[in-house]
Amino acid sequence: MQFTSIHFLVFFIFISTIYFIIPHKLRWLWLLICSYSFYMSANPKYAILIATTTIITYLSGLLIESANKISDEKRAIKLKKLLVIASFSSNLGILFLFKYYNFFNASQTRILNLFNVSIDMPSFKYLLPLGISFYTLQALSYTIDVYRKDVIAEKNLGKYALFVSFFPQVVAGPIEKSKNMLHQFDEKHNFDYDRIKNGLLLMLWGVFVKIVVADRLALLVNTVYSNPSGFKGFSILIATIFFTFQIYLDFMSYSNIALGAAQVLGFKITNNFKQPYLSKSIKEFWSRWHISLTSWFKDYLYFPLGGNRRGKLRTYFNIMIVFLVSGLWHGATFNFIVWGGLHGLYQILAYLLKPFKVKVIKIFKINTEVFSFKLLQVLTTFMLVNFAWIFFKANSFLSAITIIKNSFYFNPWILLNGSIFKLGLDSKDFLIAIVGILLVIIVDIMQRKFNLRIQLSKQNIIFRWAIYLVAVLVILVFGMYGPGYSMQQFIYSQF
Amino acid sequence: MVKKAFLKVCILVSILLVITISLNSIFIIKSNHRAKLIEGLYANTEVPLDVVFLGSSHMNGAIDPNILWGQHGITSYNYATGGQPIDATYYILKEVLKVHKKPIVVVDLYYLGLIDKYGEEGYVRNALDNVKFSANKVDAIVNCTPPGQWIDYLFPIFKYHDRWKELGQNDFNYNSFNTYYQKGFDAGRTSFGKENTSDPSTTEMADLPPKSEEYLNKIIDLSKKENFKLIFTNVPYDYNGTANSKSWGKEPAKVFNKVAEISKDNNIPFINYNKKIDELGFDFKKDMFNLGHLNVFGAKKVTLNFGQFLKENYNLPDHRKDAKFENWEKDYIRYSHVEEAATLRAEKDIKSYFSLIKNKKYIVVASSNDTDFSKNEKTKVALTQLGLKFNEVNNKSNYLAVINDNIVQAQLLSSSKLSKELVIDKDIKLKVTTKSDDKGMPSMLLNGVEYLNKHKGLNIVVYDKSFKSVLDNIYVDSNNTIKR
Repeated sequence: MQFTSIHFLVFFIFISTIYFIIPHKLRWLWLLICSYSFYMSANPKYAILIATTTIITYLSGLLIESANKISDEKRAIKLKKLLVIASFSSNLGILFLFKYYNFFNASQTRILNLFNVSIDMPSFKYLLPLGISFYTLQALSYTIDVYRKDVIAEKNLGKYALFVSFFPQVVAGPIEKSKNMLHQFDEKHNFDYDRIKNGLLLMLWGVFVKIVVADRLALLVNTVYSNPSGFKGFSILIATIFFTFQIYLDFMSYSNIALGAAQVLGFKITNNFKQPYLSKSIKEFWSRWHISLTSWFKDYLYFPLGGNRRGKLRTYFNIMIVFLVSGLWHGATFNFIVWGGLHGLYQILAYLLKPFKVKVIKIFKINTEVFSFKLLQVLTTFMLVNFAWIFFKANSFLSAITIIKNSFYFNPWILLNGSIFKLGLDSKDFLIAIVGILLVIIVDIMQRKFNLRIQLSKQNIIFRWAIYLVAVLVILVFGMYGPGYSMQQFIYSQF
Repeated sequence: MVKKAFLKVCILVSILLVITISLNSIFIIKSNHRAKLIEGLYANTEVPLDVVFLGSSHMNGAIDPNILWGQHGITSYNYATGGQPIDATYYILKEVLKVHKKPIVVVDLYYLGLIDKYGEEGYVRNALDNVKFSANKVDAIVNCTPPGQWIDYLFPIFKYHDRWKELGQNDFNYNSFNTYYQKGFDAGRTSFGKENTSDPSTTEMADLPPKSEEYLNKIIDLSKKENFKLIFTNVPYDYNGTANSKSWGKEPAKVFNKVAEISKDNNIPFINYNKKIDELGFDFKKDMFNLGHLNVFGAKKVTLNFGQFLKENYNLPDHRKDAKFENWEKDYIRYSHVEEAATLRAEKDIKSYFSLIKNKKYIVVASSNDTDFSKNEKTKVALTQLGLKFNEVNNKSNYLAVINDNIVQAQLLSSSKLSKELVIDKDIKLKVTTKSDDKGMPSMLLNGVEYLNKHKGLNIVVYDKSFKSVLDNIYVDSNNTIKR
């Protein structure tokens, strides 16, 4: 049941109505039933896996907390560490089996083949369970939070199961930490008109961005990227820039629908995006892109590795580790590792080149406070991110290399002779795509200055309602949905 | 607060619904089926119908209500749409009965052969997309379409929204009234040219597909409940046309024998025209448009026969002299006129063509610069039919003539270029020449618009004064063949 489907709309209206009708003490149970129904609508079998992860981490919490009562502190710490390791290894073991086993198996076979050793390992033929990368991290955050005494262990298995499977987040995040989320299931959420309206608006924006803009961009992107050797120069440049926006809009829309749905029900979950393409450095980009994942890695990997407190070299090493793992988290292919590695490298280079940059600025007396300098920073960051996305999108490492090679070709005439409109988007669709991108950029710039939803709520009713109606009608008319289209999956729901 | 919020949501959703519903009619494809259903079901309901025709494309091109009017003064309308499954026919019938009380209902049963649970989406849409929202429409959607598509049928914009790129003026200002005079009938004019490969003469029977039987019985039950007279037909077609279809029963001949039995049991006439080919004087090669559908000539034969059947078996008054039905007569005149024009445009034989254009409604313009008229007896004879005269035509290849009201307004023959300017009925300005300045071809400018200047040989333009437009535009090549 995809967020942008009519089924989800009906499902959501139904569950929200019941949610506000039933007494508060039953609401968690209702949400748990709905969350499992939502999850099982994709594939009922995989509910067993999410339940297994839930039970393991639930027990780890209870056991860690009971270990706190052991008077021998050393023994207690040892036991707690053992429990954390057990929880991590079992959950990551499941994740490894489903997501990485075949990749490592193939890589190992390839390496051994170099030494003329051949081992025939059985392959694992099950589909990747929906949202496994997301809910595993979310559940593991609980084990550590209990270990660190940031939260007390949840006694109610049902409420804990709801934390792991909460339907707005379960498929593609935001990955919530237990210390931010668990307590919210005990709070009472009343029917608050403004909160619900704001939540619905966020969902509407998400649906618009996904099916009017992102899915339209996908048509051109897929045409070019599915045949890397068939295109050159500006075709590739446009496809790559379109993908840069497609992946942002696709994931941002998912997160906004999740955020909006949770808000309607009264829950606050982490905002995953804060205008990432307006960032002036890669470091800033990562504080604005997939914030919940970055924050998870920071809390549970970067800091435990020592963060930036153990000298420069170790800091660079830690950054690289975090981004390589982050790349691998996205998928079991070499391309994702390269993508993560590039982002790690960008940041290390930024540190290394900082003295040089300062010198240049000083020598040439460059004013860093003016708009043109900031624009240059934003564009440079955008192009670096853009380049890295090539590896993220390409089907293989070789495809990515082909795309990069073929992009060095100067053919501006394709922008003028109509060839650009033969890449999956005709001139009218192309125009809609460009207008959509511009609209998102304008909204992002405005969001930097003020909260658009608050500004909108200050306007007169006719204006507000006109905006809502136009948004719905634009989705109805220009959306890429219905019998003529195969619905484009959210990109991140595949990780 | 909840009450206020609920009220606001209701108002907003209502506005949205109203806008969406009006968008639906913009986005729905403007087909002939849409025009005929709007005109027949909603726009022209004041004159009662004696007979209504329902079914699929077979019926759509089989019975011509204008012929029934012309022959017997019977008012009727053909509601059939292409590919309409029998379940959809049942709901279209219910829609018809909302506005016409107790007409004679004639249903063609070709689609009983469908064995699929649901008809093909495009075909079902021909019918249901063009029915107004009502409980009957919802019922039709629920019963004639798969559950996954219900929402798309209720809100056709979900299906058609990607037409935004191709929307034209006709989508925004759709006017189907221009088609009403046809009374829902539509058939091709060309001939199939092949024989029927099937043999409908068997006397054996076979069961109807379950859903077809269910809806046939529903139609019969409805006729008893609503007390209207029912007639079933099966118009000529080649039964082998569906032999390779996975959606179709393999024994249509036997199924129709079963239908005959069911009809007899219920005292309903069933006219299986496939078994009355000789009585109709039907020539499959000439009277079919393709292997499944009649052409206008076949339709005429079937309609005349059916009209006779109605006259003999039902007490239907002749409305032709009734002032209340004045518009039906006007429509019939228009229909006859259009038929004449269509016949003219389809004619290829030069002699027959010249007899057809000898008509007071037409202005005929002829211009030639290629053939020496003395050497082309056939053309000369044909032109003489129009009242033109040919004396001393030797070596004269430039020829120009204008005929109005069957009167020769101008006729010129010369061995060199000829030109003539004429004004007819004040507003028709003609400028004719045998050799245009740019291409040296016969040319005719009508109110400044060029209609010829493309081919050598004898060129003829036929202008229809009542339509105020050029009806046909031909040239005759050296073999005396008409080309367009």
